[in-house]
Amino acid sequence: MTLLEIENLHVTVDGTGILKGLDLVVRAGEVHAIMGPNGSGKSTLAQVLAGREDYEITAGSIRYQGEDLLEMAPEQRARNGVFLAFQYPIEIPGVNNTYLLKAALNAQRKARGEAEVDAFDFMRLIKDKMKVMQISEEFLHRSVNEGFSGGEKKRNEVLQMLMLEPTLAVLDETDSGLDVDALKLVASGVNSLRDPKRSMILVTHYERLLELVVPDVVHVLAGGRIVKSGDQTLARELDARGYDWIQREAGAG
Amino acid sequence: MSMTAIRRAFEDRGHELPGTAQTHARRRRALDRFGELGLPGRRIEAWHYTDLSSFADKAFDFIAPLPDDAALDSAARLLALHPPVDAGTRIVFVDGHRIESLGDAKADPSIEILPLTLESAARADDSALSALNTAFLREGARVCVTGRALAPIELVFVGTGRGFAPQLKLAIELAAGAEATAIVSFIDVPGADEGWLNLVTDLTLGEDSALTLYRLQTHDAQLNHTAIHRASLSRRARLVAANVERGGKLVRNEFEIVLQGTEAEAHVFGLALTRDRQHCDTRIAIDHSAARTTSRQDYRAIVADASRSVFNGKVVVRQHAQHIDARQRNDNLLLSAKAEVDTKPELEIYADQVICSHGATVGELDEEQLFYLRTRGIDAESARGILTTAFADTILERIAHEGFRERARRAIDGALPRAIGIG
Repeated sequence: MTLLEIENLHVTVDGTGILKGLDLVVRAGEVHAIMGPNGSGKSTLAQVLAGREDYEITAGSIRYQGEDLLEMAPEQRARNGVFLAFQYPIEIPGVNNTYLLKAALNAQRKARGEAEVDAFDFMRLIKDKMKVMQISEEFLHRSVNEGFSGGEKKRNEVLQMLMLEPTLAVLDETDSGLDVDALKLVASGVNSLRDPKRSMILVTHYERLLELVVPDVVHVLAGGRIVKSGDQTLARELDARGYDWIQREAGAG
Repeated sequence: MSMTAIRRAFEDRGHELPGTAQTHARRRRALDRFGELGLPGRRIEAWHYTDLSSFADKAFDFIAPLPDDAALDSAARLLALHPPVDAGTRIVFVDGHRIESLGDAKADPSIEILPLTLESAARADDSALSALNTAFLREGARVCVTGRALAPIELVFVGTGRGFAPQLKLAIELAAGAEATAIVSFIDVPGADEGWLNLVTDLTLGEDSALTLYRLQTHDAQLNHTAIHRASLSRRARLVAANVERGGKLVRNEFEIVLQGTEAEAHVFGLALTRDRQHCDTRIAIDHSAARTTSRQDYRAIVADASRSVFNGKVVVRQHAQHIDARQRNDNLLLSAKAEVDTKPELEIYADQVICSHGATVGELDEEQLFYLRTRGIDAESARGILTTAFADTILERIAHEGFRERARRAIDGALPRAIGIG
């Protein structure tokens, strides 16, 4: 079953064309990796999927669960199961982590017509997930991402994802800036969510995450379009040879 | 009310005010002084952004009569909605008159509460508003603290919405080593007539004493409010003043703090929320007159609709006052394109061994933070609410007294939805 279908997507940021005719189909249960050189439009794609409003869609369509995703506000997308793990998670001084997680979870439950989460169940759930991500309990009382190290911020994004159990998870360079141990934690968090009903898009610059979370499909994004798709061997090839050859090949084609 | 009308009111009804012939002569001198100075406005540097000259056209009654039974009844009903935040003595004023039957006296060997009369208020009138205050002063309270107070003393000023302009004075005096907390709040029965409360508060802190002064201003929209706090701190005295401003029409709150003794410390912080066409002006002047003194100013304002918020923080460091640590911050959140913020730091430093800093920001809600919250399923309006509350909490969290902190938080939370545009 098709979960996400992107057709001929054109996106302009501050008057500059970034995505120029991107096509992508993700079926339920699949994990897709999107690789590509800096500036190829990977993060733009991730932000557009989450509903960033200052990016202009000039052509194309995105259908999610058969509906027009571009018509939905960011919060509607989230409640319908779309989750973006930010490349640069935002610090929100004065807003408590626990508060945010509870508000997010309840917003989702409310949209599904469910009752608010019980306080006891919530604490048990969050403590379980924190254990998976090896996040200490004092984190519960801290402000969202404030004073977190780069690695802590990334782990916090994955924690939120584990709590919200999205249907479509988009991870925007969640692996960048992590040491080996943190990378393993992030990977095990992601793997724990793999499910026949759940799909993931891993935006990454490096191949090393894909050794730990094995994707079903690997795409190369260059010049605002997907220029090549393959399996994990393509990721390894990119790691060994860089991106130049692909860009030449795409230019020639 | 024009000067002529004010004089006529004084001649006709001045005898209703308490005091001897000598007191009355002093009132008259103060009125003359007020006549010379006039209502403060733009022509005075310290009143650059707030102008009271329009008050000349308004029919304020400076000699509010003793509240009648109906007024006392409405005050009692309002007070029932604002119970004490702690277990200490509560003093209640209604339209400028102290009403003992609405208060609650608790025994505390460290605190003595005396009536404040012009005879006991010796300080000269150095401004138009303090001169006006002397001319029409009805009464006030003098709180003398000699030891460690058992519980905060609460002072509640109730207005019954009948267009009065009571002139009141408070004096809080701490003997050497004394410690106390005072909670001052302002509430009104909603009324149709425009009123004005003018309050002068003198704070005297003896050596090694510590005073925490909390202020929660939730006036009705028809109330103007001017307050002057004049504080003098002896050696190692410590003043913490936390101010929450939410109500009123035109509000001006002033602090003039003199750090007289070495190692004295003043911390003044506050939060103002303004809506509609409210105008709220806070002016803090801290005079470091002695060595090794410390001051902190930290004010935040949330400015909605077509309201205006003013902050003017001044620090003076005298030439002989070395090793000073003085810091000031003012952060403003604009919730509307029509809202206005004026912020002005003033530093006058004549000593050289000084750590002095100031910073001011004026901004809107952060778009990146809003987007982040929305991607977590939180709707745009709630996200705005969460971020605005967080902005306010940075100040509210610093209120040490839990009961007062929660009272202040409720006052702000209750007004936020409409300020954000979702109520």
